Amino acid sequence: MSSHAWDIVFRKEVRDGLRDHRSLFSASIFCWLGPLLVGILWRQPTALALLPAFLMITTFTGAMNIANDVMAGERERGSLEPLLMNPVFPADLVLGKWLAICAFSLCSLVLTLLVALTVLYLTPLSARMHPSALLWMLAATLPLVPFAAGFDLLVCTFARTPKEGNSYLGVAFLVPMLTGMLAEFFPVRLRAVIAAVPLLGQQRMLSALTRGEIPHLAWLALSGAVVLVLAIAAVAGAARLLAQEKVVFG
Amino acid sequence: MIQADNLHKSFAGRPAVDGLTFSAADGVITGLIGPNGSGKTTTLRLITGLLRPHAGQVLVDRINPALDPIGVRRRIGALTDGLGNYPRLTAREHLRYFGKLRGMSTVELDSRIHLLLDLFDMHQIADRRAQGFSQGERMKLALATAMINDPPNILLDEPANGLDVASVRALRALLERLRAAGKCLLLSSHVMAEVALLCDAVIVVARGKMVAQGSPEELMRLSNARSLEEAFMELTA
Repeated sequence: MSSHAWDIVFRKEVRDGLRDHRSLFSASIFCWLGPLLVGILWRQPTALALLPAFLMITTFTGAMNIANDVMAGERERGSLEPLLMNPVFPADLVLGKWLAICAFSLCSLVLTLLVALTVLYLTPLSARMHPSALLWMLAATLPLVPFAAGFDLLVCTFARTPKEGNSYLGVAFLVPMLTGMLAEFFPVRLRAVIAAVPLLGQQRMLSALTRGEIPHLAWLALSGAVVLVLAIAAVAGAARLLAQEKVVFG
Repeated sequence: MIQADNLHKSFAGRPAVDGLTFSAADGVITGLIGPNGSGKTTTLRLITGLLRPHAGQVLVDRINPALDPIGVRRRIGALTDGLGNYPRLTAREHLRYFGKLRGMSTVELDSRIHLLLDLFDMHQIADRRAQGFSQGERMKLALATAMINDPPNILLDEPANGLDVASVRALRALLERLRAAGKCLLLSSHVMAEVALLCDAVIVVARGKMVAQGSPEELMRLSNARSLEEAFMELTA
């Protein structure tokens, strides 16, 4: 029975999240804002350099609201205790919630790429970056989806209320934003050791793609593997926390 | 059947449950009464395995929740002090969600949900989202959720809170029916009239310790009181 509990939780959280129209709207702002800005600034030679940061940010913003709702919100509503009283392992609950967060983060990323594609077609930017590079960008950013979902989930496990969760997530949000921006101002050469650094690796590869360079497949795999391992560690950490009395009733 | 043996649980060095021993038999409604902060909710959480005792043990149908919490939770339906629900889900969706988490099949669930909606007179709110539910409606939903898989042991913390007169009567009738069906019912309440009317056995706790146990009549006799309320005041003073 409990082997399918994660699937039951996943479906419930997705349905619940899709009904939260305000959160969906606020998360979608980031999806069109970044590419739109790139489009507005198309005359600037560095316009495309903004895209990597926005792609990374959008995986986190897509995950933020739902992560806050399924963890801190659950606690504030008083629904965490009735949920934990079911014959389900905390790991199954966390897995289902994480997958639901991943689904929203993925939608956010895909939507951003679709807006970016539209911007490329509507502006002369497509001469500087072929639209097919967006598929490579999807491949480079995709592993950030489970990472952002796991990271936001873990952060929200500590929060007692969504308000508290929002303040933690606000700080957590700075991580992809600053990585994306600073790496553009102080560029480091993409090599294996840089590709293995979470977020920085993705940023350098995305940045290379905006210049029409295709990153090495091994670096792509390496950067993806590192963030996937970290995502699994974050989910395991959240499951461990949820089994602790202090966290549930603290 | 629920048995607690010399249970101890402290929070930050302050004992919440301090050597509690009792048993709640099948086919009996057992009342767990005590002043605020006497350890009732902690005891219920120890029974479900959400809290682990520092000493002593609980057995639910001979299963220790500290060792097999999942096994115990399969055999328990509990209503604790939090009536949390999901504002964007309907009452029916809540019941379906918790029923599925409890391993029920869709066919089983459909008939059980229909029965519970009947029992708690919830048909009118069945397909309404929980956002804006009154306290009584939230209580009905929490009660129905606790009983979704017809568990053999039922823990109820203040189940009549917020219910209207008709719902209280329906709840009373339901508890009597569950008792007749051989369920083990552990009821925590501050409403002494309710406890006197429903409970076959009463456990009185104060400062985490059991101060008396017996039928409402025995407790009244023991404390020379004319009502359970008087007996309660006397025993917990």
